Amino acid sequence: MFQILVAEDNLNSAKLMKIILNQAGYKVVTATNGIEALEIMDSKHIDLIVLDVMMPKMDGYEFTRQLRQSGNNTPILMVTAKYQNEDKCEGFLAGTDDYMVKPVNEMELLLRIKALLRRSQIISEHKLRIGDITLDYDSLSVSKNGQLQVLPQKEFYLLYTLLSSPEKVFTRLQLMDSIWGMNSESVDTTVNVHINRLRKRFEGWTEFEIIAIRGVGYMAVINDEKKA
Amino acid sequence: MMKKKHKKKQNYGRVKITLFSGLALLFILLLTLGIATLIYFILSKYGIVDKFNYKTVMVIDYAGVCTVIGFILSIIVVHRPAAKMQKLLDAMEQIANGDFSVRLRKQKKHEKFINRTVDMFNNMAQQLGSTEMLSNDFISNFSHEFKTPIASINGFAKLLKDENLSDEEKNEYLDIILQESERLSNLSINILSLSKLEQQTILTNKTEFNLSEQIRIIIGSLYTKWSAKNLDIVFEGEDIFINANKEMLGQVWINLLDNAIKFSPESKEVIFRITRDENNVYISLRNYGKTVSDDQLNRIFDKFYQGDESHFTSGNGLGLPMVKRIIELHNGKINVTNKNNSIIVFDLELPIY
Repeated sequence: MFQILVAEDNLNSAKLMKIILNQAGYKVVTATNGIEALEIMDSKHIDLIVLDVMMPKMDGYEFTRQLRQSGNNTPILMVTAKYQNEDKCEGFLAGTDDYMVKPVNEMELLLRIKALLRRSQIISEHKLRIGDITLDYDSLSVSKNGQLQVLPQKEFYLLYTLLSSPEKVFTRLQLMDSIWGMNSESVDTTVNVHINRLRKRFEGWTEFEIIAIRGVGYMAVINDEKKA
Repeated sequence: MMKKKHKKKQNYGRVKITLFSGLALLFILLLTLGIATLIYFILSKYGIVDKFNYKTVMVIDYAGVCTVIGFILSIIVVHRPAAKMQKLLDAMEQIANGDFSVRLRKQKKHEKFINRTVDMFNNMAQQLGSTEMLSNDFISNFSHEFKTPIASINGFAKLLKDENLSDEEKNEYLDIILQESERLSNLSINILSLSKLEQQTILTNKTEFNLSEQIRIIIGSLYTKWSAKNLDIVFEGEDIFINANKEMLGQVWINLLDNAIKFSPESKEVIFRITRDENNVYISLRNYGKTVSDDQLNRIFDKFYQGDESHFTSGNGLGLPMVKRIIELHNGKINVTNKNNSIIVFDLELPIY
């Protein structure tokens, strides 16, 4: 069970946040300022921080900076009324992983938290799990029910990228840049070719699907039983 | 009666300024006289100059007369500019009171400095007048847009206190409260963005970036919305680079696409096309929609205008005005047409540099 720290000085906002997160299955710990929040980080195991920026004694930016400086990479989601671009920039420069402007849509909040947790787990373990399937970044292998296959490097990275952020559309350029590198000599059709190879390789697999959006890019969709 | 009072006030003001400048000059002259006399007196005490005699007194008398004449001359010289100054002060007071229609008149015979001041003042008054946010029309539309959802929320919340409501009714009222709160929330966010845009006259933060890629990424990010309606979004065009404000243009595509998704019937196409020539980029977005009359088409960029039916959606009519403003800031053009009565096309033209 994930434990989330909610740092927010407004009591009603904090209460609302706690109820929403509890209902979604997370355990919640609260703090009303940056100093309290740092103390909690020291004493408890926290999987993710939902952080308000405008707090007394120590604001969200300073908390983030201090946390990152101490080497702690726990994912942070800033939730704040400050909507200006300079505020967002300051947030990201301080070290936050995501930024939402109040008032927040609860669904969006939960989805972003889920994505952050998933990514941080992937980052810490270098493994991606979908049902019975496990992708191991270090060995470029995909295993299912005990059966292992090792993929060529580019194919593996492509699959891994798409599956780490399911239902996110990646453009051809984005994939080229992150997997083949920006100065690569490869042609525009390279991504296409690799996608087709992946599709062929995992033809019978129902756990996920790679979808192409004409003129735009590709994305992976995970077919959960939980999803209706 | 008002005019006479106003004239009297103007005259009184003019007299005040004239008298004040005259008296200031008089004070300086008297002071100079005093200091000169003192210096002469000290010097004479030390024998450096001739003793204080009747000749000295005559000189002092002479100086005194010069001072008085100087005072009179200063009043004559200052009184005309004083009148101008008072006019300027009065005009500024009118602006402070919210009347932006006031203008000052230039005259050829006035000094260059005065004419420049008049020009600058008129310019300022015009800019204030054209800032729509301060216009009565906008303010009344705006408060209506806020008051309406608040009234709904208030009303339905009160109704919910009734213990005898059916579950169905309760849910219906709660849904309405949710909808209207969301509308208010969107409205406040959009109004802030729009007012920031309106205050800008020069485009800042221009960078060079891949416009086609930006549009593709935005299309991708809105996937959930358009796939929910089973729309077929197509993007046609090569990679085209542009020098512009990336963030503002991003908002343009989001608003246009959002609009297209909202009004397109299910399972239809939405087509984005981008081309360029030597100087400009041309972007066109077309989607199927309900039949739009010419009148509706003309008003599509008006603030808060949502077409007769769409007040039922959670939009607030500010998306397209924002788009228009951003395109204007980029010195571009935007045009909307109605082809075959059910296809709506937005054509945009943006300079590459």
